[in-house]
Amino acid sequence: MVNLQKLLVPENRGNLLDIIVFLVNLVLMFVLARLFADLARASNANDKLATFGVVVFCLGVVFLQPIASVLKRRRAHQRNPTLDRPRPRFLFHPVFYFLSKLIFLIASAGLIIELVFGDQIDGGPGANYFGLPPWLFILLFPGIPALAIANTALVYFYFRKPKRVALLSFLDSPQSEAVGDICFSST
Amino acid sequence: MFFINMILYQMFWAFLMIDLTHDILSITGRLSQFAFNALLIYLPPRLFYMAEDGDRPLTWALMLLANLPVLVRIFLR
Repeated sequence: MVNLQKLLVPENRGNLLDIIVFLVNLVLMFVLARLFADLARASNANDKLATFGVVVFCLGVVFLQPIASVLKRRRAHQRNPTLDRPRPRFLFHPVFYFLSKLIFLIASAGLIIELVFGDQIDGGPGANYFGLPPWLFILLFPGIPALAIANTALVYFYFRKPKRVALLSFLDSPQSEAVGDICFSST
Repeated sequence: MFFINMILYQMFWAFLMIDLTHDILSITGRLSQFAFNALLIYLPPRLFYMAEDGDRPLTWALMLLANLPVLVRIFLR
């Protein structure tokens, strides 16, 4: 007999997630995926609202996870003292996480430029910087990888055991973990 | 409220997987692309839960179960 109460404890959130994902995959996923495909198609066809939706999605994927890792870190280490030695190690290599965030940041930056500048994008008379003004290209070229590195560093900080007292007592509370869970589930 | 946004992310994942079955004809190609996408797209948000339960065989079985509809599509396209 499956113990539903046990499934709801924080240690088993991943398992609960997999069961929900399975049920959604089974019943709705391919319908929902087609809706997502329609959104992507509308965004490609210069629908500004659809583009804005995709930008919000990409930025949520990039920024909610670091926020969640900060909110959940202290409670997670109190609950599980071996959190700083996650297994299997190769899956926890930061390069995968970094590349993942880089992809979403590049996508969102491209779409934001499209939304803000629209048809005005013109490389000017000088060198061609992918059609961007030179100042914007110079800002984005190091800025996006730097943001992805900062994002990865913040998220991997989650796996380090806290050694000092929390700056905010809220970070030690179950509410902080609950808000963190909501943010995690957003990514 | 819990997991609702993760389900939105799963929509994106399923969208990628539908494209995969359309774009790549061989099973080995689809499987290797699936593995690559899983490392870059599926696993990063799952890592935080895996850090807590990754050493349990049940977790891996449930992850396989969660992706079974996608895997069935990859094999039986």
